[in-house]
Amino acid sequence: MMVGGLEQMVLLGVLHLTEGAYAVTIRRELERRSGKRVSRGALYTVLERLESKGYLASRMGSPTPERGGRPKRFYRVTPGGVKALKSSKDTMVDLWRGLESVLGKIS
Amino acid sequence: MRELVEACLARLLPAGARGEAILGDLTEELGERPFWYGVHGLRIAVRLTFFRRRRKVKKEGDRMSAFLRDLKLGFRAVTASPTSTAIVVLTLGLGIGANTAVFSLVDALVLRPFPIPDIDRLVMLWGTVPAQGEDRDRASPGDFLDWKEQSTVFESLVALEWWDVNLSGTGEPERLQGTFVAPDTLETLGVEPHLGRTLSADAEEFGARTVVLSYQLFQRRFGGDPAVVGETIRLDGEQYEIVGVARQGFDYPYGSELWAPLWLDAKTAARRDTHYLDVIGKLRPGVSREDAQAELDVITARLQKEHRVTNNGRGLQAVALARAVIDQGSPAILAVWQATTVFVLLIACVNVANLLLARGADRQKELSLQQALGARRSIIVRQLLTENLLLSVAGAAFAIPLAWVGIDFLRNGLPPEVQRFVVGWQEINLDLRVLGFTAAVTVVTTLVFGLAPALRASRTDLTAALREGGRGGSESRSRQKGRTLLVVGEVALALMLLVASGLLIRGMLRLANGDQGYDPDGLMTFEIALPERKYEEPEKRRQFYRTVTEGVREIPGVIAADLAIVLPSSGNNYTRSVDVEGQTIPNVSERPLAHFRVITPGYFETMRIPLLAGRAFGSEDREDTAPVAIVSRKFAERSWRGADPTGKRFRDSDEGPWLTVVGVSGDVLQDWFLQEPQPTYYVPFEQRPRVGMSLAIRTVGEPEAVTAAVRSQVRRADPDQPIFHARTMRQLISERIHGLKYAALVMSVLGFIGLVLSAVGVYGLMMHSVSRRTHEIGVRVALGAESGDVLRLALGQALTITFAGVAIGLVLAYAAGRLMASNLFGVVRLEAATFVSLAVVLGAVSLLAAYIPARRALSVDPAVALRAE
Repeated sequence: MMVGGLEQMVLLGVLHLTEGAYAVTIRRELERRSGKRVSRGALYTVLERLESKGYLASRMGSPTPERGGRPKRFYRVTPGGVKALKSSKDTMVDLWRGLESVLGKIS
Repeated sequence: MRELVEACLARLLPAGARGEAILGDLTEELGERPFWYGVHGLRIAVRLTFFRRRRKVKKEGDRMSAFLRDLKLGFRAVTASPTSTAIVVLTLGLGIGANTAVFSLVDALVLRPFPIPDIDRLVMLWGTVPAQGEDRDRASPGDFLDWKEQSTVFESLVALEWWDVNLSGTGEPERLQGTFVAPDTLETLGVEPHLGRTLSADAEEFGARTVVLSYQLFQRRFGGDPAVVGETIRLDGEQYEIVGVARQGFDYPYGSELWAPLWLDAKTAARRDTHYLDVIGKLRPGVSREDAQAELDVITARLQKEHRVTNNGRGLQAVALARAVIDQGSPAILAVWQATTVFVLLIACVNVANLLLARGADRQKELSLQQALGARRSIIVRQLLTENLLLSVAGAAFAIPLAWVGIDFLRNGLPPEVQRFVVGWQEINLDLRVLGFTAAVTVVTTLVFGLAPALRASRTDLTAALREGGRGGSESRSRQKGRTLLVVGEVALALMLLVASGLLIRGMLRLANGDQGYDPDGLMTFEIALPERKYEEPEKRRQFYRTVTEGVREIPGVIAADLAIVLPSSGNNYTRSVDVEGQTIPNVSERPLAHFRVITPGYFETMRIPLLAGRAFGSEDREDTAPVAIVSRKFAERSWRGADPTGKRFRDSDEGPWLTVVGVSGDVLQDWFLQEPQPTYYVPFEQRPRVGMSLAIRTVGEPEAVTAAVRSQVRRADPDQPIFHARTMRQLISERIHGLKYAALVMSVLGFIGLVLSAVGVYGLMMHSVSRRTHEIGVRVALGAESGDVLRLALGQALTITFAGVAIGLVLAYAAGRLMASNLFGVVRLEAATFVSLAVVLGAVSLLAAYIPARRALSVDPAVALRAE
């Protein structure tokens, strides 16, 4: 049930975007929020892996001219994905608990 | 370019909607920057492929193979330094691509010139007359029939005769290239009919007028209508029945468009004094060419005894057909090209080796760390080799489109009328053999230039490397020396290539614009070939040509018009052995040769060839007056050594009349590869009327402007008679040196590639050395070095390299020039100006390439440089 770091970030990014989440906007969102560069190759791999685990679902948009007549692939988080995120978070919080003196308060 | 990249990515990315969406994303973000579009696309494709592959492997419960891991690591390493990777791929691509393109040419033209079944059993029989330096003479009908009858080594022995034929009757009269063939010729050459049949071997056919068309002629002139088989056409004014169409692509010899039976009547069949047959034999299975040669030697020895007058000194050589059909000049030129491309590849490999060495040096620390952590040396070497393999595969992949373009360039570089004389031209293509060759070159390149740096990089002294690498100082002296030497070699090779191409271009220009012995400007030329049967009567020939020349002289814009049997630079020639009175040499084959020309009286004036002594021909030289001749200065000097030649006599056959010399003309350059004017003699057309003549017309204004008017004058004289090969004299000269021009063009492209590659080499080395010495430069600047000092420091090394490279290159170029001068018929002369100017160009380019990294050294900020450590 546990998902990895970049996987979590992607799932959260898609949730933040609500509508219009596709590779380009997801990457932009993650870079904006984390301030770190996200490699395209890694992003596509993660998207594919999350989809195969059933945490993301996708649908094809309609083609647009600025994309050379190619469609977008929009993603949304499935209930399973939300569940996985929650359980990851719980695990993390469990691990953090009791370390407030060292790490500060969990916000 | 975009389309190509897109197409490649579409293949690499997951198929279907998923890949489409990724391409869309890339277009949206990077559509404006195709390079990055490609780079990122490729990275995504590779990551996804590995991801999918790993998932699959995991599912199968297998571990990812070591090779794939190496590949993945390799890919990371390769893309981590995109500049040097791009340089390596570009360099290898150019080197391998140029090599593949030229090898395709060599393969098609030399290694297997045309697709004829059992070509290894076909031999061409050439007459040899050692005393005259002749080794590829044609055969006389009498000799041919004797060889055929007396030899036992051949399955079939056949003969071909050149046939310039006029096609008339339907549409505009046209002059075609045809061939008379002896029985069995087409079968021996493996021709299958596309339609109808080929010529049958029975004697009846060989008395009849039948003809086989080439597929090309069938399409062009008859619209590909199968109904033409059985029809008759008018050739040279006679009716011929079309019995068949040859298979597509067959046009032997020399772009032949039709084939008719070679008819040797009893009188012709006995002749041994005229040599016009190309003889081809098909060896019986198991008989070698040497066996055939031995038997032919016996037969020719016998014929020499039996026919002393005509056959004395005449031998015979059997040459493999595949070798015989190759143009005499082309192997030399092709060899020069192949050598050149090998050098280009060598330069490319040096570049790659250098970059790999530099890379190895840069990664010394990383590699030592790996070793320190326990990685076996074999693993590191394997890892580095995989990386190199990736690089060379990328280079080879890039080379294929380049080779494709190159082959296209080579194929279209020659005009069609020249191409048809180059056997095998149609066969030039990028095929599997050539690709195999490329692959082999790639593997060799990788092994040779990847292994050494790999071994070297892995054999580091751990402590020293870690210490040295940690300090980031300049790399060890010996290593840098090795790389410097490589670049020096590269510069030297590039200069050699440049000079070689420069010399060829200079030689070509000299041939095109040099003194020809006449005035080639404002001259228009045509050729006319009257059918021999229709114009059997000499008087009819005189009549026809008189009407034509008189008519042409009336055309506005024409100053003068005259006839000659062949014109300079036309590619044709007539040569006779001459017998000078008082110096008779009994054996015909030992007599000196001279060019033979039949002309009309005003020819020298029309051509503006100076008359040095005596008189020109005039109306007083007629059929019924004494036979006369005008000799060229060379002829006069050779035969009479300074004595006044007028009034002297010579003859060009033992039965013929003595010709009295009435004048001496200036020398004329007939053909570039003869290097200099040859002894020539001229006789008046009225005394020796020929069927085939060329028309030279001196015009005011544009020479081509008279073409239509000339055609109508010829039609007036004989409506069935075509006129062909309409060219200005300048065009003739330029066409004559097409091959050379082409060679020079290809050479200069290769030379340019060499120049670019060596500049890249210098750039790469300097870039690397500047970046390695950032720390040192920073210290120097901090200690007060001026920008001039820094520049001197950075450029000093480049100067040394350039000077050393140029010096060695000049020596190599001199050797190459000597070699070319001896192989290319004196086209190439060693000219100091070419050497010097190209050395200056190369030096300038090389210093410019070094200047860019040197500027970077200037911008080093000491504070940053020192902190960076």
